[in-house]
Amino acid sequence: MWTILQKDLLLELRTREALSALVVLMLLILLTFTFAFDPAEAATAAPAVLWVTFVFAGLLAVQRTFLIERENGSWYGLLLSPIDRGAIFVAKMTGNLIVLAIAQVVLLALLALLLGVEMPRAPLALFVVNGLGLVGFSALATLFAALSVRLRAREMLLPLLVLPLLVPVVICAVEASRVVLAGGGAADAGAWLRVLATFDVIFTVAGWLLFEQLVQE
Amino acid sequence: MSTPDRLWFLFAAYSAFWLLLAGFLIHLGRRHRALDRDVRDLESRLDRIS
Amino acid sequence: MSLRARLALVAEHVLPFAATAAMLAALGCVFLYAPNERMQGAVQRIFYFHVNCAWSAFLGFFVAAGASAWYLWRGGETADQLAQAAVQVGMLFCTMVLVTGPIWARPIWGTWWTWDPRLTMTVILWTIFAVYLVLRSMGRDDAEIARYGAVLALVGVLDIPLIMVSVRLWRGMHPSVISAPKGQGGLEDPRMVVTLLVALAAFVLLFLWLLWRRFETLRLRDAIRRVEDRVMEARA
Repeated sequence: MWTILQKDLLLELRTREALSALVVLMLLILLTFTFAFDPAEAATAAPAVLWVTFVFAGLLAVQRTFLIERENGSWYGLLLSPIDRGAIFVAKMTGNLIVLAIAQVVLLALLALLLGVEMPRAPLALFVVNGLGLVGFSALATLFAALSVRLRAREMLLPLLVLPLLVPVVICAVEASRVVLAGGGAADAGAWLRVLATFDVIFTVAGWLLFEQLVQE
Repeated sequence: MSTPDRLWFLFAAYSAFWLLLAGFLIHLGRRHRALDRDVRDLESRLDRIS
Repeated sequence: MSLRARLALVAEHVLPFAATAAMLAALGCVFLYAPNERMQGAVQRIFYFHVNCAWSAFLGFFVAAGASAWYLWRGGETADQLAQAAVQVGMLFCTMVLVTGPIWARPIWGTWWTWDPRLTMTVILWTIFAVYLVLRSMGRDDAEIARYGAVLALVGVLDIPLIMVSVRLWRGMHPSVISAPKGQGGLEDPRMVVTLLVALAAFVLLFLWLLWRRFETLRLRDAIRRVEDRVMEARA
């Protein structure tokens, strides 16, 4: 499993394709929001902007990684090898997660710059809160991404599949971020974080179990 | 809101229920008839072959 | 006689009559037997069918998830057909919830839509399974799509408690509407409880009957498809 992860990461780092596309896309969406919002409201809107940008850009990015792999045939090579399918899922999910996490740091920085959002004194808390959301996001996106590349309506399909399922993540991550941005600590956001953590555990395990059933060719 | 108005809502809700149910059953009926047609079609094709 | 044949017999001959009879009894109870609720008046009677639609929808989705799990791990098209039928019947009832809910809300709360936690959750559930139906329509004989549909159904149902909790928490933060206790809070009169139970029985029977009919249609369609293939081969 580690080898797959290593391979994916190395590929990413060398080409930096998905990451750069992701960052540029996020920047564009963020800019659009900047024009849409009155700067005074920025602080309250910030977590929502963060997550909306994130979800749409993130889904496209995850989809791309699968598309590339499928196009150059390495996907089938992977399936034919005797590696446990569950392990493939975890490797892919972690790979996506790392890319998304890096993107998130960039996005948070952009957010602070463009919308003039006050970053809390402990930015780590904000990062952790959103990181928890990311884990759940990665799990579901990775699970369903392999399908969307096959069908004609691919760009539409992955968001359709994943977004309704992600509602708890969006609600909890946005509200928890809001708490942290307003200066609260982990304890204040406790309830949201608990739900996020539960979500992450359930869907990582589910993805790990289900991926095996999905990719049989 | 006066009682007659509210009764209208009661009527609307139950009508909606029965309409949706009827719609579903009609849909099922149509599918079933289409399948019956397919079966007859197959039978005639089999007759022609054998 | 095999279990399946026995079930089929019951479903074809007994179930429709039982369901109709139970429904008539339920309607009788709702309109003639149950008393008017103190605060809401006659409109409250919507509750008996509204709540049961919600429960039937949940039942449908749970059956779909179970059948989907069976399909994923044990295979066999019967499980998949059952899952599809269950989702469709579930969606019928879910739509009914979303239609009767606002109709009930309007006279009681003065507005068609509120972000009531239960209604909100129903909308989300509705979209999840609407996507399921869209997905399945993209490839009727496609095994991969069938598997992804099964995963969606399973994941969707797993998500339900999480959606409930997060929506409740969220609404707790933004209470913009005074939620008068609707239904569960005010079942004071035992006659109301009886009515609810009679309606529940009617809905369960109705659900089973609809599920059976839809399932049979799907099974028939696949069987015909197979025979068609063989006829094509026989000619060649």
